[in-house]
Amino acid sequence: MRLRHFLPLVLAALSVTSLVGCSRKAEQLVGAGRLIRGPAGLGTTVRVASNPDRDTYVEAGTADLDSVLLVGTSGTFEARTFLRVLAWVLPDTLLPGFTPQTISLEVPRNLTLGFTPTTVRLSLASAAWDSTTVSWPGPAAGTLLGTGFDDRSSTATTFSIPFGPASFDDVKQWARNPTGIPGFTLQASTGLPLAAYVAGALRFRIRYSHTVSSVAVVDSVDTPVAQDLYVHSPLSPAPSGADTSLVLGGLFKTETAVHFALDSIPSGVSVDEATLLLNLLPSSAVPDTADVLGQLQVRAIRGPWSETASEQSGLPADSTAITSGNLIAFYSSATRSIAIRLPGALMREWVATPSTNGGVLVRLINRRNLTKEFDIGSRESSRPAEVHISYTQLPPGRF
Amino acid sequence: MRGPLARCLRALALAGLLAAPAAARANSIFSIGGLGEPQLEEAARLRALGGAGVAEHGPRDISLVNPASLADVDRILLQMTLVPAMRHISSTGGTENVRETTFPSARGIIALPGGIVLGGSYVSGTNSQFTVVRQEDQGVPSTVRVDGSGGINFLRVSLARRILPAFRVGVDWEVIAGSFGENWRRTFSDSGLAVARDTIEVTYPKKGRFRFGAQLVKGAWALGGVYETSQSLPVEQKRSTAGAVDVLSGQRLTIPTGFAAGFTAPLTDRIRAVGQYRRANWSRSSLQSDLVDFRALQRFSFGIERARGRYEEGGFWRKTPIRIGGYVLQWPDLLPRAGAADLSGGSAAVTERAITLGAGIVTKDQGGGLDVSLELGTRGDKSDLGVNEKFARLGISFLVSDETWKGSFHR
Repeated sequence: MRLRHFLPLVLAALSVTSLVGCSRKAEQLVGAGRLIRGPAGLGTTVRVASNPDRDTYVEAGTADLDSVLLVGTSGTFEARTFLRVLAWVLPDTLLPGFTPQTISLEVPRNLTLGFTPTTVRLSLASAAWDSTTVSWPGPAAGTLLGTGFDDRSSTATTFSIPFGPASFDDVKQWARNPTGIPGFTLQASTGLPLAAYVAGALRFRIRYSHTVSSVAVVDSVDTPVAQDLYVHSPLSPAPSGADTSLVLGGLFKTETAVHFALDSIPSGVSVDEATLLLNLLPSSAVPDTADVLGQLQVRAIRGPWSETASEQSGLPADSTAITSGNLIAFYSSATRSIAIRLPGALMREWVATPSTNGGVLVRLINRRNLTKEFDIGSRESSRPAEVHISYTQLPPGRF
Repeated sequence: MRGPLARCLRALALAGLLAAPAAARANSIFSIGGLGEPQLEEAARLRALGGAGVAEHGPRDISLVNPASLADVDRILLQMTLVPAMRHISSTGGTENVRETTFPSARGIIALPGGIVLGGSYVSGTNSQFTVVRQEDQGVPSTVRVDGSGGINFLRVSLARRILPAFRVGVDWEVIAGSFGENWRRTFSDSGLAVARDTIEVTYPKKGRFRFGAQLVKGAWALGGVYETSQSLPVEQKRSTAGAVDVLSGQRLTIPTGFAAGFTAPLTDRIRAVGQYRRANWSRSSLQSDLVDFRALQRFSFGIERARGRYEEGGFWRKTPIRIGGYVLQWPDLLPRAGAADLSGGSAAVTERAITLGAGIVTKDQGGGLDVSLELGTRGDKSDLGVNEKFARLGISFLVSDETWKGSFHR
């Protein structure tokens, strides 16, 4: 066999061959003009901008299980808080010299809003509620258990609402049968200012005294509130369908819904970009450092809806967000607009199946300032929302 | 036999691996449209003779053009050819140099009892590899990069036999394979726009056709001829992007009939001349398109070879065969003229001309060999096509054999 002597030569030649080939410089800029594919060219990239043909703003519902509990009134907004205890913690009444002292509801303050002193009433609720269905106004207040003055100008972290001393017997009764009472409610008289508290941190405190070596000692036990929420009055004023602003955020936590007709976009294209542009009206607040944690979530709406819808339940929106991001990152101070990139796949779906195009619902979460609201120009305003879409036609056929 | 043959196969596999990363990315600027650059499938020995192989015959003097040329093979032969190339592209806007390596053919041949020779081969018919980068200003400005690949390939089975002392016949049955693919990548200077990635795939079903060959040999004289049958293939073009697919069908690609005829004639006891005319009857009906028309492919080949001297004659140059030749190739593709969007403004032809040189070495027992060729040529026309190319191709062919078959069955 002659290959034995031949092999080194073969391998050397092949090595040289591999070096000679494999040019990555072969970009053919010079001959690129030979890429001829008919009068339609190579597929044009088109950018379209359109304004909504439908828009509104809605609230998510009148019950809120967020991290804040609200009580009081601010403009058209009125809130009540509801609390429930599942198991009570009682002091050892057999201790020598046991004497109940005071019973109170300890309420940690949220001082990011509500800076005016107010008075809050703690009452038994008149009826039980289901946290998944409860809505404004919620169960009415029943037996008044105590009243507290919340000096919002003080720096104290906790506000206390004392019970009368005779209530210890009531607490013992509640402890024996926790479901025997419907729950508690914190309310303020109509017109009293809004106060905010920290959800998940409220507790009932029983202070008592007993003797140790003939010396009186004061002690206490806490019972955590197991469930808390607040309900607020319905969105007011409700959207009329002809408003010039779409409110995003605020105490009502409104979300903005916009719908764009995409009839002008052909099917079978590459979507290179889709951006939702929410333009702020001149009178609107603007995102600033206080909104550094604010997040925008966008959800697709899958069916028809009315411009006068005021509740999110009236919009068939997806439960999961199609995109989200930081409010500050999305905001451009130069144009006073919030630009949110939308997934190309959603645009393609809308173009291919227009019946799935219900628009998008924009929601603001993780806000520090609950009273801050952004006024987005509606389609009736001079700064309506826009959607920018860039698409490229399919490349032409080879033959 | 197992050891040497295994080494052969290992060497060929290694050669394939080495060649693989060198896949061509820009075989010709004219491959952007039409069927791609017509490939000369022959090994370097015949490439150096302008590709004139239809009358080749002998135990190792085989040609891929004519199946009858296998009739004298008396052993196992393995042959592979690589073609590194450099091209200089010139247009009115500038010039560019390109390098690539292509793999035009590989074949294995075995002599069977009864004087029958069986062969199998891979043959590249056309090569549509290309890469272009182009600035587009229709709509939003973008940069389009298109990477083309594929072409028409053939997988061929050959049978040959010497019928009479002076007459050899052979037949090929080849599967028409391959496809055309393009990847489009469009980037935008506006960073807000995502990169668009689209693909075009042109496919056709694999179908077979026959090629018939014959040779008449008298002393050092030989005549050869080949006839190729046609085959019609339905073509499907699929254009895809994320979330969208568009399929175009209804076109047909007809691989046409063709023939080749040629000769080899002695000039002196060591020098011979070869010539060949080859034609494939491509025409407008071969593929209906607004972007490419067709004419008959014609290749005119001519070469002169000074055969190697005997080993005992001494002297490297005396023992080294010297080959010189040339060819004129008329591509079948008729492409839109420069600046035109399609054929409505007329078409322009691509004609390729080259001179060829070559040499080779053969092992002492004449069982294996290494042949090299050099093709220097031009193609295209700036005035009609807006661009032309000058090219230098180096052909490298390896031939190895296993002599243990020799005499076992064959004659």
